[in-house]
Amino acid sequence: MTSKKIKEAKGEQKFAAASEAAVKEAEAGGKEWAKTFDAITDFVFIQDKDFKFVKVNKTFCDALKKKPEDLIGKKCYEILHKSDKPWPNCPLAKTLKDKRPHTEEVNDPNIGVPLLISTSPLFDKKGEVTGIVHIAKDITERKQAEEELRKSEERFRVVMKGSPIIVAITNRELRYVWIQNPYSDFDPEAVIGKRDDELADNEGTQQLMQLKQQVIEREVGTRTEITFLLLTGSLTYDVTAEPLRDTSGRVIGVTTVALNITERKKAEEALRKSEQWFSTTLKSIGDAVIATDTKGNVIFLNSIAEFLTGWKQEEAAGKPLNKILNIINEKTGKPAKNPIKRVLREGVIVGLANHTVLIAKDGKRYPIADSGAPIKDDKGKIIGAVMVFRDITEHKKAEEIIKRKLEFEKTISSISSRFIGIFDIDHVINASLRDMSILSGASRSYLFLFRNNKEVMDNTHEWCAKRVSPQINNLKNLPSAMVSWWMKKLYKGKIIHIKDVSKLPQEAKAEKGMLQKQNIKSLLVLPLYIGEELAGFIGFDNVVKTEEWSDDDLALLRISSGIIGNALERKKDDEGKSEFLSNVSHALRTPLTSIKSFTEILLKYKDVNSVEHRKFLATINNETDRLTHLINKLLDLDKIEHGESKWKSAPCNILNIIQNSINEVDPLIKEKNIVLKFNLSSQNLIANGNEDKLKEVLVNLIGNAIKFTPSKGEIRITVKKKKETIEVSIADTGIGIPRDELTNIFERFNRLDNSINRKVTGTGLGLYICKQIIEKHEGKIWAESQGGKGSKFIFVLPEA
Amino acid sequence: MNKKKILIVDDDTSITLSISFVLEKEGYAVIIAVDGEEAVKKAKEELPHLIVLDIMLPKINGFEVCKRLKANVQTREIRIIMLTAKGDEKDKRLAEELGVNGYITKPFDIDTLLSEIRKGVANGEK
Repeated sequence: MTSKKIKEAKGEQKFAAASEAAVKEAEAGGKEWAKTFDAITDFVFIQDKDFKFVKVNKTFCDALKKKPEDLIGKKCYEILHKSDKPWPNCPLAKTLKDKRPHTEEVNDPNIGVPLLISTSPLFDKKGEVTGIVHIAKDITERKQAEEELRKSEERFRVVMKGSPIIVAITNRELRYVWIQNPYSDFDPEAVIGKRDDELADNEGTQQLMQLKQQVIEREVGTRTEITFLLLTGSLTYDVTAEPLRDTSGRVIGVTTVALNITERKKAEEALRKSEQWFSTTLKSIGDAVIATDTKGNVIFLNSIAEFLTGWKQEEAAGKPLNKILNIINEKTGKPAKNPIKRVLREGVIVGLANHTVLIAKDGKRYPIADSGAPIKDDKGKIIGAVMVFRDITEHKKAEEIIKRKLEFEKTISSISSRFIGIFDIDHVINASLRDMSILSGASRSYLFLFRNNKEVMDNTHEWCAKRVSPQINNLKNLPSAMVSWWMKKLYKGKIIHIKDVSKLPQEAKAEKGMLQKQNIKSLLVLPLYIGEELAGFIGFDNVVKTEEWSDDDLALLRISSGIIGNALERKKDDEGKSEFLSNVSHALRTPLTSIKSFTEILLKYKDVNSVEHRKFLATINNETDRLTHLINKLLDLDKIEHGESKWKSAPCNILNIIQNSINEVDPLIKEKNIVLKFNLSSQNLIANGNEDKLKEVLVNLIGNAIKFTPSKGEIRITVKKKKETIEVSIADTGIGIPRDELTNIFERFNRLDNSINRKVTGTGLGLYICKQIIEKHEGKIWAESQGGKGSKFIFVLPEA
Repeated sequence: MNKKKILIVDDDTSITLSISFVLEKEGYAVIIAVDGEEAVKKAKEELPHLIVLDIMLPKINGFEVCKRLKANVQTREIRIIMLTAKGDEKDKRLAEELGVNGYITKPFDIDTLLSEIRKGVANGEK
């Protein structure tokens, strides 16, 4: 064993030196021999060639409890080994034989102690061996140390057997003297006596050797992790190296305990990676994360949490969560319950109540959504809590927008569905105003309709919130000019959205005053169209919810206004239809009434004289004709309005048509002695149109002229070419038409209210039919009149 | 015996002709007006026992005539029978609200008209 040799080596050196000195003394034959050798603690004696003691020192005598005289002359093996033959491996015999010094360990039970014996020859002047100096050392202690080492090695073996630990002992030359559980690649026998770099020369083994060298030099233990890159993969060991000392404390080698931590390293690496992943995740996660200990004190904040709370990790650490995560209820403004307490107490996941607002350190407010969850160890014990929360400002905004859009959709669809197959349009408009008011948060909403060329407006529909008094009856017959700024915007089709009435521009001074007088702070006004015509507006007062509305939202609301406009248009149509029906009924009933009355009279009264009798029958006859004529006109009207949308058009000479028309009404002209005059710019005026229809128009217009012209009056017909059109006018010398009736007379059943008209029978459809025919020719018809001086009907047709 | 005075208001000459013929035959004195204004004027001047009033009249319509007569102390007691080609329930309701005593739609039965007139005249005398 190498360790033993180390120990021996030192002892031998010392021993050899002593032995040399003893020999010199002996050669010198000096008297000082006894003195010197008696002081030596080793056994020293000189023997002759026959193994007989010549000289013995005191130590040797004391050990044998003999006096020198008792020993001198006696043979050493008789005294020491109690034998008649020399000890088998006695070095003395070897020295005698080869005349060289020898050292041998002798363990003779007869001696009682293990001895290290060194023998050196003594020569005379001739070089002959005269004796042998014999030094014996008691090596009991050394033997014991060696035994201890052996025992401890045994202990290591026992302890480390089967463990993932390699235990080894290397000597000062860094050679293995013992190893347990060696690398699987090596046969243990092949390891003993080798150095690490001889086993495998790599970074790991170099590091291991340096470690051992360091322990030998510094004589203190150390510990490190060494990774060996082997072909079969990398292995990592936690290596503890301790100096190995002998009993005297000298470092004689190094014990190394290498723990295979490859798996642990792998796990650690995986953990590190997962931690890194976790920390990266925490950082990059959009949510704020705060972790606390079991007492609810903050131990960690991620950067989002730092941003939202305004607290830095360093400041926040150790502080109670309540202080860092200062939350209140959005609605009540009171502190909100922090869920962490329940999380820690019950170990459950707890979400925050809705409408929670976080107040940051600097006072900023963020609406947040969050939840708290317990952190448990692998045994399920709660070791802390984690709060995850996020700023839901954007989310809330988006939610608001979606909510609003849905409200819009709901409102609009409810409005539109109400208008499908209307029953009572006013009721539906009122309901729509209510819906739109709720949507915009208005306190009052209203519909105004214009009339008289938009000069006047009336509040026709109104909705008021509770405790808001209706104004509708105070808002009739208002001049539009009082809201001129407003009107200008409406004319441009713009929505008027006034978020703050007090900030209205100077040009809206009138409106501002009016609105402020009514304590209206904000306002929304939508133009209302009937067909393509601006017909009025829908307004909303104190629109508290429209603050955040976008132009898109307003555009959506405009749809509602459009729906109402359509409904009003339909209402107007419907009213027109029922009015028409009512007019037709009235027009039919009137001649029928006469026919029935006179018939009844003739049946009831026998004494009707023959003149009256004839008169009544003539009336019945006339009224019957009137009825027939009316029915024919109604059929014409239906054809014009619904059928025959395309007439056969051809170039036709206007003068011919006029002549034919005059021929038709000639009896009437003659009857009233009317003078007919003509102004013709050319003889050849060709229009593109339907001759029959144009004749119908002319007969009608000339007929009217005759009706309203007194006897012997004058009718002037003018035909002229104007650019690419032909203009025809028929002027009478009748009583004329009031200015405000000039357009109405072309409406259905609109008969002039005057005494002359009362006397002439008419259907109320003539001019209306004329207008329809001319417009189908892509022409125009209108009337002109200067009160009292007659009327003039003019129509224009495109030239062929 | 004084003849009861009846004012007939209609813009259609053949209707005034037929009604006046019948009423004269039945012993009434007949006055005729052809528009609303004339009707109000003649009612005030003549204070007839009863008015047969059309609705669709020139100048001012029958409803307006009715309103004006009811608003006047002198004329408000005059019985009014509406005789109109307007057969809408709406018109009938409006006429009733204005306090007319009868509502007859054209074309009418002479006997119906006569019975309404007789009833009206008789009630007016109570």
